[in-house]
Amino acid sequence: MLLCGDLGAGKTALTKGVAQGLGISGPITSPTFNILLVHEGRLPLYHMDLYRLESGSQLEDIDYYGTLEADGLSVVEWGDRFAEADPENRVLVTITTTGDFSRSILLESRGKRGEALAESWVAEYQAIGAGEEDAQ
Amino acid sequence: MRNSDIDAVHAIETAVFPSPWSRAMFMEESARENDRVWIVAEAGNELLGYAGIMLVGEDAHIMNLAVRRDARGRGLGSALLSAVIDGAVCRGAVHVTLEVRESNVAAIGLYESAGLHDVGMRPGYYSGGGENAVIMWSDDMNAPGMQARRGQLAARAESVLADFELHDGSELVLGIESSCDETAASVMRGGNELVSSVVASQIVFHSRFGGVVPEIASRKHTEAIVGVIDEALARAGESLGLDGPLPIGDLSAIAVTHGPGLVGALVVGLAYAKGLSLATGVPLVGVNHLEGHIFANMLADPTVEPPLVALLVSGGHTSLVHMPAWGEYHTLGETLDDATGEAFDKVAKVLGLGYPGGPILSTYAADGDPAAIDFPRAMMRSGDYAFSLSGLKTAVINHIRHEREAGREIDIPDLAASFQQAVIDVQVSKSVRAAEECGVKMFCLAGGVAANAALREALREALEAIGVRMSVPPFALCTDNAAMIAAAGTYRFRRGERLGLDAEAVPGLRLG
Repeated sequence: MLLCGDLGAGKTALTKGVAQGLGISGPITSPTFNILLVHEGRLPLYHMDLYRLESGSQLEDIDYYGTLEADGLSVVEWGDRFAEADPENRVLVTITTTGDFSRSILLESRGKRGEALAESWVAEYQAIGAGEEDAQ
Repeated sequence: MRNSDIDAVHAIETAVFPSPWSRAMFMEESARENDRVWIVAEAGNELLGYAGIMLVGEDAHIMNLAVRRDARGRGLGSALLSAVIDGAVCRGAVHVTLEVRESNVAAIGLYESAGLHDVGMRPGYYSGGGENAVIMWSDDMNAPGMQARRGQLAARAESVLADFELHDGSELVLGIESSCDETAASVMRGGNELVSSVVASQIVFHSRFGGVVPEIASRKHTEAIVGVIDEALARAGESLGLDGPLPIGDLSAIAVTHGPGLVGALVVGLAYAKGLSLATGVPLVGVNHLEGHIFANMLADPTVEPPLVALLVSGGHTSLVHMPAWGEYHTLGETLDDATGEAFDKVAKVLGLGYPGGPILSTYAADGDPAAIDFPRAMMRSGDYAFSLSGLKTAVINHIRHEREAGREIDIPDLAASFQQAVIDVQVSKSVRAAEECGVKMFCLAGGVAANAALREALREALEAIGVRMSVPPFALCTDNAAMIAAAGTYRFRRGERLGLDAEAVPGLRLG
């Protein structure tokens, strides 16, 4: 799951929700400084942040590709920062600030697995009663 | 003698005596409180000798006395003898006696100096060779002559102990730090005297090292670590007046940060430290990075000691820690989202001041009105010690958006000052409450954000108002360095703590 959006858009806040869904109890702090924070839940959550990286070549240094292939969910803040960070299968989540308390969220999938994931999220979003037009 | 001393006691016993006591015998002895006096001599954390005496009515029978070979010749045996005799006299003993091997001239001389004299012989007393035992007795320990002699012995013992005190603080410890962006190494003597300190990013040492400045990546740590440690040992050699670099074998311990931090970075320092330890036999000690920051205060000011509360604020951490005693930590609260330095850097970024722009933002804040914009004081009244800075960051970003949408120019100094004040208000309020609730008179500020003058001064003022002294290390010790790791490591080393070669880096390592 690649997250993009300006500072303060709510990338870490969204990740807190994901962590809650995975049954993770500890605080989900910003991974900016540590680059990678690992949380144990129903699935391990690999919470990454590419904000401080200077080039795509550093992805290998932080074991980015190894982490994506590990046994858990990878959530990558500033995931659109380097073309090399875009995996075969993913959902790109773009958060746009539309007001102090409102955001628009755009899902873009890549690969079969990415597509299936994005579709299931949209289906769940509709199932909890959100309007059809919100879930394009 | 406590049960926890027995391993060290037994190790000395088997090393120095041809027919040593068993471990079980010491266990049994240490359990007998009514009719025994056992004394151990410790320098720092090392057990150097012991003596035991048995009380039988008015007689006290010295059963055992030994000093580790490498600690001999400095009067420790005499000091132990003095302590154990005085202990027995306090418990009502009048005469002291013992048997000693006929061949042990040094021991016989020691006992004679304490006023014991040869009264006879037990032929073939010792097993395994049947050596003769000399029987020695003292005169009445309370007779004036003997009292004076005991007084002299006790005074000498005190100076012996002072001498050990003086020298036990001389361990050379190598500290290694690679928990995040910095690769650093340092040699400290006695835990508080800086011998050398090298931080890769702050040093240009092209000759030895190619001028690489390590950043985020573990690969960069890998490239830097050999050069940084070599440089630290080379500079230590220079400052100690040696002909070349300080030999690793001269170190008492290698202290390494094993968490918290970025796992890929931590493993580099840890693996290198393990390798050094394995190859040289120098013991390995693990240090918590945050504990290191607290020790940076003690490095700068030796009068800083627990009980204390510390506020650790940096680009990656925001924690309030209670340290009630040496080696004991309780984390009172941490940030739930962004670290303090990170919030400064990100607000600076939104204002186009660059990244990391925290220090630039603080410079602007000095010229602004801290009351110009009323930003939220998150968690100010939460009743706990948790911090939250993400909401404040978003409030600042929203404010900037509104101003830009309204076509107004943003007053950067006012915005910077108002943001900074919101951060300071919460941190001062929680720090003061923590100091009060923990009942401490000492407060340590640590981490890179300690460089923020406004935070420092606001904290100092608020703490002094409640009678709490605040310590802040000089800036070079606020940011990540290895001197603080060596200092904290020296302390753990003295407590006998060791890190096994199977230890792993712990990215989420907690402090208490």
